[in-house]
Amino acid sequence: MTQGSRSRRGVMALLTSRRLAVGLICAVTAALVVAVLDQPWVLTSVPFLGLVAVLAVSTGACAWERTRAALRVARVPGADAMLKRLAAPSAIRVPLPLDVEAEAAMAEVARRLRGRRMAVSERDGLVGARKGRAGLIGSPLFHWALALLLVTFAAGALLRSEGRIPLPMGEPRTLEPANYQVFKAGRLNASRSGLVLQADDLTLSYLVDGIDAGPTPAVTLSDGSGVLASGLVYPNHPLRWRTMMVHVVDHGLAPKLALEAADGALRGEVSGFSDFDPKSASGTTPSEFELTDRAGVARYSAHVEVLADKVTSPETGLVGVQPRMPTTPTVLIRVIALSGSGEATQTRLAVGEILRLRDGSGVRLVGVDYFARVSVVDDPSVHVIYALLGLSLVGLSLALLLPYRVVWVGVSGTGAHRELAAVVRHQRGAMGFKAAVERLLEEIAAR
Amino acid sequence: MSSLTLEAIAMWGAVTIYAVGSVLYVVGLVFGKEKVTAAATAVSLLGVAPHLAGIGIRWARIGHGPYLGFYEVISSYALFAVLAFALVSWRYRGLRPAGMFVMPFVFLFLGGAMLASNQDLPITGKLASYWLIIHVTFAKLAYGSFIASFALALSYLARGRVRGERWSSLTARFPAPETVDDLSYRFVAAGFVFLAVMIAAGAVWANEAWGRYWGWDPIETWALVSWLVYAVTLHLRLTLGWRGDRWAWTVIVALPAVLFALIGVPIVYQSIHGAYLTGY
Repeated sequence: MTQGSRSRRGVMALLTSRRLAVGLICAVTAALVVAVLDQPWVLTSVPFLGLVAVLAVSTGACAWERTRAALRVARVPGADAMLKRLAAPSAIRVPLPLDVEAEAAMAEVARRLRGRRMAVSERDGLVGARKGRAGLIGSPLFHWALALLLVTFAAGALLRSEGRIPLPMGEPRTLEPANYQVFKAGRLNASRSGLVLQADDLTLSYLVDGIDAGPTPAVTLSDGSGVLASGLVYPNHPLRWRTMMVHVVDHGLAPKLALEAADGALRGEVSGFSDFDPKSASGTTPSEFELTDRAGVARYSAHVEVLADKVTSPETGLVGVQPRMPTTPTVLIRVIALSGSGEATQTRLAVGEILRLRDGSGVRLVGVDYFARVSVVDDPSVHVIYALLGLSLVGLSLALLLPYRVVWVGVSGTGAHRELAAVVRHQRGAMGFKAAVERLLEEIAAR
Repeated sequence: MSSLTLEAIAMWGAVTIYAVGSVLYVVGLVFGKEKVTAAATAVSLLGVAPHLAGIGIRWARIGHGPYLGFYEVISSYALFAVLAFALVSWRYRGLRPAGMFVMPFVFLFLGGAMLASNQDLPITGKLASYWLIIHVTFAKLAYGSFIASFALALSYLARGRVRGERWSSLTARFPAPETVDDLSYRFVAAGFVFLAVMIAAGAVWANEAWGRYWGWDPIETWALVSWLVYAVTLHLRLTLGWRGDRWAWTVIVALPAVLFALIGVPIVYQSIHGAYLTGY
């Protein structure tokens, strides 16, 4: 054996070591317990990721070893090899009385094992019986699937993108990072350019089989060539397109403001996003804008809050916010000059009203509509993960619930020294199985 | 009579019967009365009828199974524990005295549930999914299996350690140690598979509902911790050959991880997941 192959064997022996497996699982478990005790940094720390990487490699090595073991066990041994095993000290031995015919005894052994729903074969004077052959593939299948799952989780983290984007009703939004409120993408994420999302017709209480699904927008995903997917989006009913999923998160109010020059010319329109907030005086969170002049220089900062309808609970007296369109949509707008004195102007605006600024320009409230905040996730690893989860569950079930059992029985010795000899193997080493086979042989010998 | 009243009568009836069963076990053991111990088993299993009736009445009224709120969840776990014990005691008569470990536990669980709020919690849009049924069913099967394996491990250890003629004669009627040991392993193996299905179903459902299959939510993390604890337990058995006392102690030490995941985490941590136990 060369030095290289000795080293490879040593590494393989280490990776498939049961004690290493137990130690790694214990270490990962301990790290998870620490992480859940308000220390989430553990989950992205180098030592933890290193542990999981070693666990993945060890699992793969165990899968390889389990596969080889299963192939070895599944092979039917030749008659000579079986006779050697029957002669070993560990074999079951039951003396066979002289008045019992060997052939009759073996026929009875075969019949009784068939009665236990084992697949029986008879050759060269030996009876072989097996049950649960499918269980042999269980452990290798489970370990391969688990190793591939760990790799896929890592790959998925690098390929995945996710973010939250507010969609004012009727206004298309391009799926680009600038339009998201929260966005993150893995290093290998292939961004899909040119996709556009639009939400229309928000229904505040959408009933599905009598259950209120809550605020439900109709969402359309399109690109330059047309609509790719569209439909109502509510809990447990996302919009899907290829590896992308769109879920509804929540809804709020979107004040739409028009910026007008002193001569009344329209400079631009902007939509804000106000979430319902029972703790704030207005009942919503503010939107912040910068108002620019013709040259694109920011002149003012605007702070806009939609005034939500309040409601007082008759039982508790507590004041809450109605999470719907106010009866008379009005905003509280505060504009601060970014240069000079930093003068602030504050007023309430109803729909159509305008706030004139010092330089003659104005901010008009065009309208207030709903917006739907949706999460957009693009993860090509999800379906692979589903498939591997399914395979791992099948493997686990076969390995644990369908143990492979095999029995080989033969007659050894001659004359008064004849014995029924049996070699028994149970995948989980259950002592009861060996004892049951021994009892069976004793009953046959006693007949 | 309203269905609420009928439900209360049925559930308190079950609590009372489980309490009587627990007392009969203690009396049978203390005074060495075999017939009393046999009666304890019969009485305890009789409690399943009103327990099932109470759950059924509530299900018919509110339109969903026992998955929401402390009262429903703990009551259903108590039911699964009794059903697991019924299965074991039907197959292995000698293990009926193991009810002395199971029934007090069931009585306390259900009694505790009855003291909690039994306010009707409707299924919301976020919970309206077939994955809820799959996820919760396998959770109950898993935790019931682990509790059964725990009781069997205690029975295994009790056999070799009890002093006194009464206790010794009682434990001598348990099946052979190898059988109890193997049975305890089988329940751990079944529970491990069920827990894996629960976690997988939860991950698929989370992706459908929230767009992410895993978010390191405290309950998700503790479910994974529980699964890994039993993965270690099974490795110790299947690859390092731990049997007998060592196996029994391993099973006993593993259960608290599962119990904390089931009850402790939803109470200690505020999370969207925890609403199933603490209400919303």
